[in-house]
Amino acid sequence: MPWPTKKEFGVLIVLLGCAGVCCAQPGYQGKKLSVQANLLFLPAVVNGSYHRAPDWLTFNTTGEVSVDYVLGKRNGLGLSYRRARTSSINEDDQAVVSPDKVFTQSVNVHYRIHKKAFGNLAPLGKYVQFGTGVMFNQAKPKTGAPVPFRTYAVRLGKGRNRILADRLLLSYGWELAYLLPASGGEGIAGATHYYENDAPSAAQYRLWRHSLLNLKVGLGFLAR
Amino acid sequence: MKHSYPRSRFSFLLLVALSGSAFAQGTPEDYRLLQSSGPIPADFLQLSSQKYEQEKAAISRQEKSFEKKAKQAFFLKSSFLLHDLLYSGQVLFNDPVGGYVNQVADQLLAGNPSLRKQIRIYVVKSPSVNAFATNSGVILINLGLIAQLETESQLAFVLSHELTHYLKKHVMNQYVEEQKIEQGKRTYRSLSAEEKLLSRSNYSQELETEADLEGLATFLKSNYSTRQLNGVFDVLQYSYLPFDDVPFEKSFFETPHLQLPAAYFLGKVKAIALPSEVEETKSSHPSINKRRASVLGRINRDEASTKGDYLVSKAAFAEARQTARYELSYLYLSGLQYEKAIYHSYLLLKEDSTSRYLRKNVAKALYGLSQYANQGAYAQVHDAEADTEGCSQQVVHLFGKLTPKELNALALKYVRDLGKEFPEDTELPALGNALLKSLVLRHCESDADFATRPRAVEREAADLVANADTVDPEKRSKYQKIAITHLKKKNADSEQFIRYAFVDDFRDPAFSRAFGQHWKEKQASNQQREETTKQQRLRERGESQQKVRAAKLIRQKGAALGIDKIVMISPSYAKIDERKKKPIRYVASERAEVKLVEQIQCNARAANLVVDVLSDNTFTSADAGKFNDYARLRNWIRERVKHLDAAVPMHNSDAAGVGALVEKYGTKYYCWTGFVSVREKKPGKALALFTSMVVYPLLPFGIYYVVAPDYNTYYYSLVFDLTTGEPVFTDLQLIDRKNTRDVLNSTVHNTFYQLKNKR
Repeated sequence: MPWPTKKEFGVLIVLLGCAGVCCAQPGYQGKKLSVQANLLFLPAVVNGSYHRAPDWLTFNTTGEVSVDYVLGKRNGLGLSYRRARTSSINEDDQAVVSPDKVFTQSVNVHYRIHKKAFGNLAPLGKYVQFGTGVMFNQAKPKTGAPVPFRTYAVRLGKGRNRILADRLLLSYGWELAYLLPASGGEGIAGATHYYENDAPSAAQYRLWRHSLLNLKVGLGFLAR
Repeated sequence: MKHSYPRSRFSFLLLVALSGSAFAQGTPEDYRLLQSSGPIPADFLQLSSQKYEQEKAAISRQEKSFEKKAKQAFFLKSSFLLHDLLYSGQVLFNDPVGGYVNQVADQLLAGNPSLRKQIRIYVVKSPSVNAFATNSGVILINLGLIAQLETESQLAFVLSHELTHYLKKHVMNQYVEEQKIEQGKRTYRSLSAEEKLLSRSNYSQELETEADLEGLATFLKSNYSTRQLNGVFDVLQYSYLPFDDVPFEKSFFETPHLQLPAAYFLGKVKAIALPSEVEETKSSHPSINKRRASVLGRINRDEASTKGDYLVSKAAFAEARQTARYELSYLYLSGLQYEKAIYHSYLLLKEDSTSRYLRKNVAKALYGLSQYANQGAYAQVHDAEADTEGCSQQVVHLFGKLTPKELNALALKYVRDLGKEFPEDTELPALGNALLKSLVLRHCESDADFATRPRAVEREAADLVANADTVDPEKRSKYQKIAITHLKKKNADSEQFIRYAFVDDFRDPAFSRAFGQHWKEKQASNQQREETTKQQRLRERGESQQKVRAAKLIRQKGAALGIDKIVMISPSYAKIDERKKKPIRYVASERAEVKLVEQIQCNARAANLVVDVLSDNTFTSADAGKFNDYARLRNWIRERVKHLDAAVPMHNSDAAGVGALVEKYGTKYYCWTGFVSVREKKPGKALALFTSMVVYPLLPFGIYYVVAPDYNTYYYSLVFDLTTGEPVFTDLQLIDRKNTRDVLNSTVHNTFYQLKNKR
């Protein structure tokens, strides 16, 4: 799986560095840094999950670990790592050669703007989140070797943070994501799917649907 | 409940000795305001919710449901209201006057020690002539009442009246009865609003009559004489008058060069009205005459010779009463009743003409009147002359006649003359400077408005007038009489009488210099006003842009005051549920208030801000000193808020006392903060549900609307600089959500951060 380029790492470091420099607000009781584990999910009504066919009680999930830093009274910056897997077992007959399993890992940065209302001081309260990330994916066809490829995502989310016992961070919300065309990988060998000629291939389409809309719940703690 | 008052005379004297005499002659301030001392009584320390639970537990299970509920509601309300009153800053404990009143109670109930143990008496710093008893055995007596009484036996009768209210549970019974009347229970069914009012009044009058008669029975069992009981009803009858009726002398404010026009004084003041014979049918009390007749009619004239008017001591009564009267001078002043403060101080100065405390109160009252007149808000502090009876009407008349300029000059003259007598005083120069500045900037049309030299004729006559009191009018020579008449005629012209007010003062280079500086300041300000429109517009635009930039910066980044320490006074929390008939959630509010104090301390640590909290929830029995500070600050803010409406520059009546707090706590920043959390009523729930059921896709929204509670939380935070009286930080916000712990913490921390942070 390809790692982020030096350039990509550089951007992240600069962004986080800025966060430390321009932080002028106290955060919650002075605690600006939070570490959080999130679960993004949506009923696998259209897409099957890794194990099961589409069903209302089946969920496509993405696990996320994020680190957020409060920049100001109403904004914060975060870095997250996500991991998900899904499959194409839902695909119709034509998709027999589409990738059976799709694995993805992503590194993202996001910027949060908290709603301009009293009592909504970062990291507390309602927020809108804009983010982008690089996704390192791997499509495993039923036959043949796994094909790694990379995509980029832009994300828009809305959510709300609550703080329990002055330390625990509880958050919930939703997120929309759009995957940009893939790079790397040469498509999936032997694909006969109608996406077969697209560079991102059927796997990317699968991921696109997987990421398009997700609900999000998370639990974390305020580090310092 | 443990009784915390000294019972014997020895312990009373010890208490007075320890707390320091109120009249400490020879000290810089000849009178010190009353303060609490010793251990804080349990009445102050016990949480209201605990008191409520105890009282609620005492309700009999046999009680009817309605009465049980009404009593519970009463206990709830009374416990919390009493707590609020005890912490209003006006109630004293273990003070010399309260100590004396308790000694009188000891004498009154010498034959009933078990009852005495149940009673706790406190003095209230209020000028109104009143006393009241609570259901729990706390009796509160206003200093206004003590100031008017004539003998100790009269005080004992008042106490016995209040004791009956306690013994017969009048306060609770009245509440329950009022609930019955309100809800039309039993005999009150189908009464009109007018009849309900009448029923309420009749019931209250019955209780008062019972308190008088049963109180008399208690009183008669004591060794107090009934000889002076008639006087108690005189005190009540004329409670609206000052404690004495002495003509106000024209010369009180006059100096050799400041002679007030005779036209400013009434030839005859309004006579004190005779007692009304009309029965007040809608009053809570029977008429005084009726009460007087029913009490005096039961007194046996052949009284035992062992009975007396003073069982504690005549001297102790006189001292307690005098203390109460001295306190009243301050209480009127802090209540912005300046004319009353002046007349009251005038009466006391008749006996103690050198009192610095009283004369300073007069000076502060003049300052207050002058500042309100200058701000065009004089009506807020000037009494209605037509409603004033007796000799005090003269004062009201005089201040009704004086123009703002004359009043300012008169105040300045009085303050300056007092300042010369007490050159070490720090308050008087501040008052003088403010008055001089307002006189020049607001009222002077030329720097020659005030003469620096007396006129020839005045120079001669001034001496005569100055000595007019000492020289027998009949022995004055023909020329002296002409000179005095001439001067008085000139003084009749208001401009003239004030023009020569500062002849003496202009000899003082500091005064002349200050006057000149203010005059230059005025000229500069006039010059600025005469700038071309363009320049003015540019300047105004620049100023306005600066203000906008500053406001924007504060909005975006918050204030940054760089304060290291603040003192928080009584952080408050009120929880209100608007959906309920009794919307105030007393118990929950108290609980939240206790937690809020903890949260404040926690957030202060996080923000690295030193915060001392003075709150009723944090005091222990050994914190009398803190309690006094708390009371002083409560009174300070009460007075401050009164001045806010008229935007009058503040000079606190207790500036010296408050100034001492700045040194004691090591900060001049004092903060009042609190939350009000409201669960609001949602209108049209049924309609919303019905509509959503008809348009069924909207059903989830309809259910959400009905089920989801609607909360609003209001937050206020005011930080004052105690040395200037000006607010340095204000934050009034509506938080559109429930008052969860994280929201409160975040809000408080944000305030603290803005106070602590430096830009």
